[in-house]
Amino acid sequence: MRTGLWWAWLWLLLCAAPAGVAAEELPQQLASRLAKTEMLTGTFEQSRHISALEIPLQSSGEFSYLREQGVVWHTLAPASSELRITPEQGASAVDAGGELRQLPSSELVAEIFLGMFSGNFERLQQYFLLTGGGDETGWSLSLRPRSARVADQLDEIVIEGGKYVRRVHIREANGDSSELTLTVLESSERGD
Amino acid sequence: MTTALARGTIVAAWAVILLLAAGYSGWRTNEGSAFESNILGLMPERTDAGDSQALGTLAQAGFDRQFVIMLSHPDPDSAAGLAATLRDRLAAQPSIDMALGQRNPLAELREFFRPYRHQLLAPATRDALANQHPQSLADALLQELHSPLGGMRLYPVAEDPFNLGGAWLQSLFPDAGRFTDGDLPVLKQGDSRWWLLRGELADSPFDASSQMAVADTLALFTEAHPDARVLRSGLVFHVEEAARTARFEISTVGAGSLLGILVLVIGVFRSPQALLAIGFTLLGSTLIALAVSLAVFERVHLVTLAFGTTLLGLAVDYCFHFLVRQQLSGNAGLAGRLIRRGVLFSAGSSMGAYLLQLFSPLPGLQQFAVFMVAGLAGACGSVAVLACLYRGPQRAGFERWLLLYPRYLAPGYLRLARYRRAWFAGLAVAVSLLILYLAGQGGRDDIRLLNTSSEQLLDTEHRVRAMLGGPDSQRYLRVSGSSAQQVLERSERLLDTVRAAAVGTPAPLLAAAQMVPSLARQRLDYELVAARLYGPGGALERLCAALASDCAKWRTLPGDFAAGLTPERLPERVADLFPVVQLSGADYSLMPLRQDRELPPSLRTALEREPGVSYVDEVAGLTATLAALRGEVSLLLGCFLALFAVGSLLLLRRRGLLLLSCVLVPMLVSLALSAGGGVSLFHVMALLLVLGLAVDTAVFYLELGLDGDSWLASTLATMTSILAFGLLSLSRVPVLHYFGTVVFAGLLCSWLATPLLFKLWGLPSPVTRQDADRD
Repeated sequence: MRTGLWWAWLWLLLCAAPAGVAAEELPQQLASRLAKTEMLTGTFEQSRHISALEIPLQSSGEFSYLREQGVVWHTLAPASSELRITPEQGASAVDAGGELRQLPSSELVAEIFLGMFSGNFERLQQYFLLTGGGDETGWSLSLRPRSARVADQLDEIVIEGGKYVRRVHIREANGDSSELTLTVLESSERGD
Repeated sequence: MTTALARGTIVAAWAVILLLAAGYSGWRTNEGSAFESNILGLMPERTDAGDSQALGTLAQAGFDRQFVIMLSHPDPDSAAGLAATLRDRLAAQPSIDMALGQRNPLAELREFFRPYRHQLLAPATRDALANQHPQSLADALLQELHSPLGGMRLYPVAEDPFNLGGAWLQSLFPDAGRFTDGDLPVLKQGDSRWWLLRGELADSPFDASSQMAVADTLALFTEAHPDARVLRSGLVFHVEEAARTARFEISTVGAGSLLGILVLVIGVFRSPQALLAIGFTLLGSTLIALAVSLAVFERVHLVTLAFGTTLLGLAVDYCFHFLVRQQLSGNAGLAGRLIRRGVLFSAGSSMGAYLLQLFSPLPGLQQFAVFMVAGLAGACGSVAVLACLYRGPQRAGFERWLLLYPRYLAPGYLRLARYRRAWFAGLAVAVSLLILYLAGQGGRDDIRLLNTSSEQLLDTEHRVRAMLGGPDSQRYLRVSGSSAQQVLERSERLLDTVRAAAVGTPAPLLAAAQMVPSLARQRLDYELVAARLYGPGGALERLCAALASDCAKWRTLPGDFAAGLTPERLPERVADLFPVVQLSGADYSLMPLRQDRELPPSLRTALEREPGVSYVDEVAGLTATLAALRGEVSLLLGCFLALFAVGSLLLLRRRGLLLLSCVLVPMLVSLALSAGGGVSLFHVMALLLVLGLAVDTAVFYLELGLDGDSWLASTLATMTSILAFGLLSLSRVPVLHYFGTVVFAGLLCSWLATPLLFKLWGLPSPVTRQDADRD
């Protein structure tokens, strides 16, 4: 009798699980989908919550991604700034004179941003535990640090998307957080 | 009866000496601390004891136990797994701790420096605060706050809005950003990605079990994964390779020499008694050499033993002379008496040549000298005992060996000697040319001659150091002052000068003052921060206006100036993370250059002009020491040769000239053949051995006459030595290679040229008549 109840409970659990791709399969499916992306351009809105400030900091700008060249992140308002993230150079800020200044944790930041757009989750998995669910129309992927060193700075990154990445939520270890909303305006894929 | 009693006493005394030597050597060996493989043991002691002590603190603090392994793989996706596997295998060894790689220096330092974060400024931040308008500083911070990466800081925005502490800590570790911090840190270098493994040995790197634990694990791993590229850095790898090389060379030279001796004894004497006599001599010689070396030195270097295996070839010389005479006379006592003068003269000259090496400041050479002198004394003692004990048969076939020289070689030498004038003229020209050639070659005093590590290991060590940065322990500025604070202030002035010279980032110099600035500098920085950032009209006020916020939690500079950050109060766990801090004393500090970085000469000169500052290049210093030693030893050799010449001429008259030529020709020829890249200290040292061995050959010919008997004994003796030094010339250790090459060439030349020189000088040889009779 007890065994029968247990099986019934398990069956109910399975039925209640969300439809779509199983959690462990998602990174692989997403990876192969995002890997087709050759180019993306779009705009973003960012909301940054800093514990010392009562109101979030709002900013907006545009971004571009080219598979071979990496990401250019151009904040336009309220203050103009530019970040460049390339596979070779890591993450750098462009100063007023146009010179590149490498940022702290440059390589880690580059892995996150390039992995997010290119779908190179294999490499991200070396630093983060990836879990998620959903299907091609709507998915969510959570990145939690594997090592204490990364956990010292980041608590969790949640990436959501459909065909492309739509929203990124970065929760820092100190309690601050950022939410990025991306709108893709132009894109091309391999074979287009 | 009396003679029998005396013989018995000699034999008994020798047996007691050998037993004592064996017992002492066995006891010291069983203690486990009798031998060492520390390559530093071969180096001359430093004269600058203060710096030596300071640099030594790095080793005392346990840095000599640390090692680094960097792993790369053509398939980067499988490299992480392989690196983790290697780390786990190393960590599974009880003598290895791999937790070092898991430390996060920046996070640890963040906690310690939290109270001081507003009084420590990175040079770039100090420049910005001093030179930029507060509005510009506020604008830069506004940009950063809006950046999606604005949170990647060591101190949260709320605690350190201008990221002063974070920027300062990151300036201490400028390479930290190049690493990706996953399960293991990864460094990107060109197209390659290198996984970094750091480990620490529980015991000294000179401990054999620790060496084996690291080396075996790594060897098994690289064998299983041949595609993986593995770079190694750490004293343990050098020590392990040095020990392995020394063991290999001891066994190669030892086995080669023994095999050669065995073949010669079986071929010529064909008697088990002769074989036993040789074994007895070798045993006595080796036991005495080892026991005396262990008694004189706390530890005997393995390279000494590798060199000492040539003793096998030398020790049997006297025994061969004895056996040849014994075969001829059938009387061991008579044979002993016949060769006694020759043996004493020959052993005396060889020992003198070795003893001269005691004047060398190189502990390695001093050990060689003691080992060889004791071994030769042991060989002489053994032959003296053999003269009392030996009962070998006279072999009928032995005669044919004695005819080799008079029948086949002497006529040839005689024919050559007919052209005496031409030979002497030729020799004079050749000697002049050789001297000119050697003068043209100049000196070779590279300190790497003392190195026992292979090129491959040095290359991998260099690559790791170049990738990871860190201090170069061989080149540094020495800053002295009347107090620790004055030294820090002087160091800061040097760092500012280097920074102003714009010789690239990160700065080529490392200094304790970078982690613990002087109190004066800390106070100035604190005042700068208070005025430019937190004061009225400062950057923070302007930022808050731009954010339309009252910035209630940031508005004021938290806390007063904290006066507690001084080198004396720095905890060990913090100092461990920036080892350069430990290169300081109460009145001095060493500022090493970064690996692979140079100071332009003009900048170096400018820095040296500052009060209390001097530039030290240990490599150049040691090279200069070697050059000076070469000069001193050459002078010593010259004086010895002059004395030898005077003594020979006074004692032997015309025969003295012959003896002198028999010594000088092999010395010059061997030097010319082996000093292609310049004459080093070790060439000159080896010449002392050539001198001793050439005297050996000539003295026996002078004493016993150049005949079939003495030529055979001399040939047998020379062959074993040629074999031993020939094998030594194949050594990977430069010191041993040069010794081997020079002595090999010298012995060969001496063996071939001495009979010719005897014929050229045309001295009467009574034994030649005996040869004729035998014919």
